[in-house]
Amino acid sequence: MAETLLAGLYAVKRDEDDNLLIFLPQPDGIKDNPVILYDGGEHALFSRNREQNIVLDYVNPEMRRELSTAAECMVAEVRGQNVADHYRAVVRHVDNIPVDWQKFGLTTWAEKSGNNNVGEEKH
Amino acid sequence: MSEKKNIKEKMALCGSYVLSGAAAASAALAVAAPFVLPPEAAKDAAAGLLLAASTFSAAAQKNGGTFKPTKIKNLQNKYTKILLCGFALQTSTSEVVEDMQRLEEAGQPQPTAVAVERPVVVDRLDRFLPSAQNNYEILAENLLKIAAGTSAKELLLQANKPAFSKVAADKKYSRS
Repeated sequence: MAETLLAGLYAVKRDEDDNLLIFLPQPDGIKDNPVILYDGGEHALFSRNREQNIVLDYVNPEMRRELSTAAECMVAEVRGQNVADHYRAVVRHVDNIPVDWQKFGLTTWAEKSGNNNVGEEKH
Repeated sequence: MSEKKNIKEKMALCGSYVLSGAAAASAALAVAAPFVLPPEAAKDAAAGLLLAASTFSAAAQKNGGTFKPTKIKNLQNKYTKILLCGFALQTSTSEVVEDMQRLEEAGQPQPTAVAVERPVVVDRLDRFLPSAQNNYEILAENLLKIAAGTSAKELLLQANKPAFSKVAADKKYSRS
Protein backbone atom coordinates (compact mmCIF):
# COMPACT_ATOMS: atom_id res chain seq x y z
CA MET A 1 0.00 0.00 0.00
CA ALA A 2 1.38 3.37 -0.96
CA GLU A 3 2.19 5.86 1.75
CA THR A 4 1.22 9.47 1.44
CA LEU A 5 3.20 12.05 3.31
CA LEU A 6 2.49 15.70 3.91
CA ALA A 7 5.38 18.01 3.07
CA GLY A 8 4.33 20.64 5.59
CA LEU A 9 7.21 22.92 4.77
CA TYR A 10 9.07 23.29 1.52
CA ALA A 11 10.37 26.02 -0.74
CA VAL A 12 9.70 26.69 -4.40
CA LYS A 13 12.11 28.78 -6.38
CA ARG A 14 12.48 29.98 -9.94
CA ASP A 15 16.13 30.71 -10.57
CA GLU A 16 17.57 33.29 -12.91
CA ASP A 17 17.78 30.73 -15.70
CA ASP A 18 14.06 30.15 -15.43
CA ASN A 19 14.44 26.73 -13.88
CA LEU A 20 11.98 25.75 -11.26
CA LEU A 21 13.36 24.19 -8.10
CA ILE A 22 11.57 22.61 -5.18
CA PHE A 23 13.43 22.23 -1.92
CA LEU A 24 11.94 19.81 0.55
CA PRO A 25 13.08 17.70 3.48
CA GLN A 26 14.43 14.39 2.29
CA PRO A 27 11.93 11.60 2.73
CA ASP A 28 12.91 8.02 3.42
CA GLY A 29 13.22 5.67 0.51
CA ILE A 30 14.53 6.16 -2.99
CA LYS A 31 13.02 8.11 -5.83
CA ASP A 32 11.87 6.33 -8.92
CA ASN A 33 10.25 8.06 -11.89
CA PRO A 34 9.33 11.12 -9.87
CA VAL A 35 6.29 12.94 -11.17
CA ILE A 36 4.47 15.98 -9.88
CA LEU A 37 0.79 16.34 -10.56
CA TYR A 38 -0.48 19.90 -10.52
CA ASP A 39 -3.74 21.52 -11.47
CA GLY A 40 -2.86 25.11 -10.68
CA GLY A 41 -4.62 24.93 -7.37
CA GLU A 42 -3.83 24.87 -3.71
CA HIS A 43 -1.89 21.64 -3.49
CA ALA A 44 0.26 19.47 -5.69
CA LEU A 45 0.87 15.77 -5.50
CA PHE A 46 4.41 14.53 -5.84
CA SER A 47 4.69 10.88 -6.71
CA ARG A 48 8.25 10.18 -5.59
CA ASN A 49 8.13 6.51 -6.33
CA ARG A 50 5.51 3.91 -6.93
CA GLU A 51 4.86 3.48 -3.25
CA GLN A 52 5.30 6.99 -1.99
CA ASN A 53 3.28 10.13 -2.62
CA ILE A 54 4.04 13.47 -1.05
CA VAL A 55 1.40 16.13 -0.81
CA LEU A 56 2.97 19.49 -1.58
CA ASP A 57 0.44 21.28 0.52
CA TYR A 58 -0.47 24.92 0.23
CA VAL A 59 1.54 25.98 -2.79
CA ASN A 60 2.30 29.63 -2.22
CA PRO A 61 0.09 31.74 -4.51
CA GLU A 62 3.18 33.58 -5.69
CA MET A 63 4.60 30.41 -7.17
CA ARG A 64 1.53 28.80 -8.67
CA ARG A 65 1.98 30.34 -12.06
CA GLU A 66 5.54 29.13 -12.17
CA LEU A 67 4.53 25.62 -11.27
CA SER A 68 1.64 25.72 -13.70
CA THR A 69 3.86 26.55 -16.63
CA ALA A 70 6.80 24.29 -15.90
CA ALA A 71 7.25 21.10 -17.85
CA GLU A 72 9.70 19.83 -15.31
CA CYS A 73 11.41 20.96 -12.19
CA MET A 74 14.47 20.19 -10.15
CA VAL A 75 13.72 18.61 -6.83
CA ALA A 76 16.37 19.22 -4.20
CA GLU A 77 16.06 17.06 -1.13
CA VAL A 78 17.45 18.74 1.91
CA ARG A 79 18.91 17.00 4.90
CA GLY A 80 20.19 19.27 7.62
CA GLN A 81 22.00 22.08 5.91
CA ASN A 82 22.86 20.17 2.78
CA VAL A 83 21.20 19.23 -0.45
CA ALA A 84 21.36 15.48 -0.02
CA ASP A 85 19.96 14.61 -3.43
CA HIS A 86 18.61 16.35 -6.47
CA TYR A 87 16.89 15.20 -9.61
CA ARG A 88 14.51 16.28 -12.30
CA ALA A 89 10.84 15.56 -11.97
CA VAL A 90 8.26 15.85 -14.70
CA VAL A 91 5.37 18.16 -13.95
CA ARG A 92 2.10 16.75 -15.18
CA HIS A 93 -0.59 19.31 -15.65
CA VAL A 94 -4.05 18.03 -14.99
CA ASP A 95 -7.44 19.65 -14.85
CA ASN A 96 -7.98 18.51 -11.35
CA ILE A 97 -5.86 16.37 -9.08
CA PRO A 98 -8.15 13.55 -8.20
CA VAL A 99 -7.56 13.65 -4.49
CA ASP A 100 -9.96 14.68 -1.78
CA TRP A 101 -7.82 17.23 0.03
CA GLN A 102 -10.40 17.78 2.71
CA LYS A 103 -9.88 14.23 3.77
CA PHE A 104 -6.45 15.33 4.87
CA GLY A 105 -7.72 18.46 6.52
CA LEU A 106 -6.32 20.66 3.78
CA THR A 107 -8.21 23.77 2.81
CA THR A 108 -7.08 26.86 0.91
CA TRP A 109 -4.22 29.26 1.39
CA ALA A 110 -6.61 32.15 1.93
CA GLU A 111 -8.74 30.25 4.37
CA LYS A 112 -5.83 28.91 6.32
CA SER A 113 -4.08 32.24 6.52
CA GLY A 114 -7.29 34.09 7.20
CA ASN A 115 -6.29 36.54 4.52
CA ASN A 116 -8.34 36.85 1.38
CA ASN A 117 -6.22 39.60 -0.12
CA VAL A 118 -3.44 37.35 -1.23
CA GLY A 119 -3.46 37.29 -5.00
CA GLU A 120 -4.05 33.83 -6.33
CA GLU A 121 -5.32 32.30 -9.46
CA LYS A 122 -6.63 28.94 -10.32
CA HIS A 123 -5.67 28.09 -13.86
CA MET B 1 17.86 36.11 -32.57
CA SER B 2 18.76 35.51 -29.01
CA GLU B 3 17.09 37.79 -26.61
CA LYS B 4 18.87 38.49 -23.40
CA LYS B 5 17.03 36.80 -20.60
CA ASN B 6 15.82 39.08 -17.91
CA ILE B 7 14.43 36.70 -15.38
CA LYS B 8 14.42 37.57 -11.76
CA GLU B 9 14.77 34.96 -9.13
CA LYS B 10 11.70 34.31 -7.15
CA MET B 11 11.01 31.98 -4.31
CA ALA B 12 8.60 31.36 -1.52
CA LEU B 13 8.02 29.01 1.32
CA CYS B 14 5.02 26.77 1.04
CA GLY B 15 3.23 24.30 3.24
CA SER B 16 0.86 24.12 6.11
CA TYR B 17 3.51 25.08 8.60
CA VAL B 18 3.97 28.40 6.86
CA LEU B 19 0.33 29.16 7.43
CA SER B 20 0.01 27.87 10.92
CA GLY B 21 -0.77 30.39 13.61
CA ALA B 22 2.50 29.79 15.40
CA ALA B 23 4.42 30.70 12.31
CA ALA B 24 3.22 34.19 11.55
CA ALA B 25 6.73 35.39 10.85
CA SER B 26 7.34 32.58 8.42
CA ALA B 27 4.06 33.28 6.71
CA ALA B 28 5.06 36.89 6.28
CA LEU B 29 8.35 35.79 4.87
CA ALA B 30 6.68 33.47 2.42
CA VAL B 31 4.44 36.17 1.04
CA ALA B 32 7.15 38.75 1.04
CA ALA B 33 9.77 36.46 -0.43
CA PRO B 34 9.38 37.68 -4.03
CA PHE B 35 10.26 41.13 -2.82
CA VAL B 36 13.36 40.14 -0.95
CA LEU B 37 14.84 37.87 -3.49
CA PRO B 38 18.09 39.53 -4.35
CA PRO B 39 20.39 36.94 -2.78
CA GLU B 40 21.64 39.28 -0.09
CA ALA B 41 18.16 40.16 0.98
CA ALA B 42 17.06 36.56 0.86
CA LYS B 43 20.03 35.66 2.97
CA ASP B 44 19.09 38.28 5.49
CA ALA B 45 15.57 37.06 5.52
CA ALA B 46 16.65 33.50 5.95
CA ALA B 47 18.95 34.43 8.77
CA GLY B 48 16.36 36.42 10.54
CA LEU B 49 12.92 34.97 9.97
CA LEU B 50 11.81 37.97 11.91
CA LEU B 51 9.32 39.78 9.74
CA ALA B 52 6.55 41.23 11.78
CA ALA B 53 2.87 40.60 11.31
CA SER B 54 2.47 44.11 9.97
CA THR B 55 4.87 43.26 7.19
CA PHE B 56 2.75 40.29 6.33
CA SER B 57 -0.30 42.45 5.98
CA ALA B 58 1.46 45.06 3.88
CA ALA B 59 3.05 42.49 1.63
CA ALA B 60 -0.23 40.70 1.12
CA GLN B 61 -1.92 43.91 0.09
CA LYS B 62 0.89 44.74 -2.25
CA ASN B 63 0.71 41.33 -3.79
CA GLY B 64 -2.97 41.58 -4.29
CA GLY B 65 -2.64 44.85 -6.12
CA THR B 66 0.34 44.23 -8.32
CA PHE B 67 0.15 40.62 -9.36
CA LYS B 68 1.26 40.42 -12.96
CA PRO B 69 1.50 37.44 -15.22
CA THR B 70 5.13 36.49 -15.27
CA LYS B 71 6.71 36.56 -18.68
CA ILE B 72 8.74 33.43 -19.00
CA LYS B 73 9.81 31.49 -21.99
CA ASN B 74 7.29 29.10 -23.28
CA LEU B 75 7.82 25.79 -21.58
CA GLN B 76 4.56 24.50 -22.78
CA ASN B 77 4.31 20.90 -21.96
CA LYS B 78 3.18 18.87 -24.93
CA TYR B 79 1.44 16.74 -22.41
CA THR B 80 -0.24 19.72 -20.91
CA LYS B 81 -3.42 17.85 -20.50
CA ILE B 82 -3.97 14.24 -19.85
CA LEU B 83 -6.79 11.88 -19.69
CA LEU B 84 -7.15 10.16 -16.40
CA CYS B 85 -8.59 6.85 -17.35
CA GLY B 86 -11.64 5.51 -15.66
CA PHE B 87 -10.10 2.44 -14.22
CA ALA B 88 -7.23 4.39 -12.77
CA LEU B 89 -9.57 6.78 -11.09
CA GLN B 90 -10.98 3.96 -9.11
CA THR B 91 -7.65 2.76 -7.90
CA SER B 92 -4.79 4.82 -6.60
CA THR B 93 -2.80 7.86 -7.57
CA SER B 94 0.28 5.75 -8.12
CA GLU B 95 -1.57 3.81 -10.73
CA VAL B 96 -2.69 6.96 -12.43
CA VAL B 97 0.90 8.09 -12.67
CA GLU B 98 1.94 4.66 -13.83
CA ASP B 99 -0.68 4.73 -16.48
CA MET B 100 0.56 8.08 -17.76
CA GLN B 101 4.10 6.82 -17.82
CA ARG B 102 3.08 3.77 -19.81
CA LEU B 103 1.41 5.99 -22.38
CA GLU B 104 4.49 8.11 -22.67
CA GLU B 105 6.89 5.20 -22.91
CA ALA B 106 4.76 3.65 -25.61
CA GLY B 107 5.06 6.88 -27.56
CA GLN B 108 1.35 7.21 -27.74
CA PRO B 109 -0.14 10.64 -28.02
CA GLN B 110 -1.59 11.86 -24.80
CA PRO B 111 -5.34 12.14 -24.95
CA THR B 112 -7.02 15.45 -24.47
CA ALA B 113 -7.98 16.38 -20.99
CA VAL B 114 -11.30 15.65 -19.50
CA ALA B 115 -12.60 16.68 -16.18
CA VAL B 116 -11.93 14.20 -13.46
CA GLU B 117 -15.24 12.98 -12.30
CA ARG B 118 -14.33 10.53 -9.62
CA PRO B 119 -11.78 11.03 -6.90
CA VAL B 120 -8.71 8.89 -6.65
CA VAL B 121 -8.46 7.23 -3.33
CA VAL B 122 -5.18 8.07 -1.72
CA ASP B 123 -4.71 5.38 0.84
CA ARG B 124 -3.98 7.44 3.86
CA LEU B 125 -2.04 10.43 5.03
CA ASP B 126 0.65 8.85 7.10
CA ARG B 127 2.49 11.71 8.69
CA PHE B 128 4.67 14.68 7.97
CA LEU B 129 7.96 14.18 6.24
CA PRO B 130 10.44 12.85 8.81
CA SER B 131 12.64 15.91 8.69
CA ALA B 132 9.69 18.11 9.28
CA GLN B 133 9.19 16.54 12.66
CA ASN B 134 12.25 18.40 13.81
CA ASN B 135 12.37 22.04 14.64
CA TYR B 136 10.42 23.83 11.95
CA GLU B 137 12.14 27.12 12.43
CA ILE B 138 15.51 25.56 11.82
CA LEU B 139 14.11 23.68 8.87
CA ALA B 140 12.60 26.84 7.40
CA GLU B 141 15.84 28.67 7.88
CA ASN B 142 17.84 25.91 6.24
CA LEU B 143 15.45 25.62 3.34
CA LEU B 144 15.53 29.32 2.67
CA LYS B 145 19.26 29.57 3.05
CA ILE B 146 19.91 26.68 0.71
CA ALA B 147 17.26 27.80 -1.75
CA ALA B 148 18.60 31.34 -1.84
CA GLY B 149 22.08 30.14 -2.64
CA THR B 150 21.26 27.36 -5.07
CA SER B 151 20.41 27.31 -8.73
CA ALA B 152 19.68 24.38 -11.00
CA LYS B 153 22.91 25.06 -12.83
CA GLU B 154 24.88 24.75 -9.63
CA LEU B 155 23.15 21.55 -8.69
CA LEU B 156 24.00 20.05 -12.04
CA LEU B 157 27.59 21.17 -11.70
CA GLN B 158 27.72 19.55 -8.29
CA ALA B 159 26.28 16.32 -9.59
CA ASN B 160 29.63 14.62 -9.79
CA LYS B 161 30.72 15.73 -6.39
CA PRO B 162 29.90 13.79 -3.25
CA ALA B 163 27.77 16.39 -1.57
CA PHE B 164 26.51 19.88 -2.03
CA SER B 165 26.99 21.45 1.29
CA LYS B 166 26.20 24.57 3.11
CA VAL B 167 29.72 25.69 2.38
CA ALA B 168 28.91 25.83 -1.31
CA ALA B 169 25.86 27.92 -0.61
CA ASP B 170 27.84 30.24 1.57
CA LYS B 171 30.39 30.72 -1.17
CA LYS B 172 27.71 32.11 -3.37
CA TYR B 173 26.91 34.73 -0.80
CA SER B 174 30.48 35.78 -0.52
CA ARG B 175 30.78 36.35 -4.27
CA SER B 176 28.69 39.46 -4.03
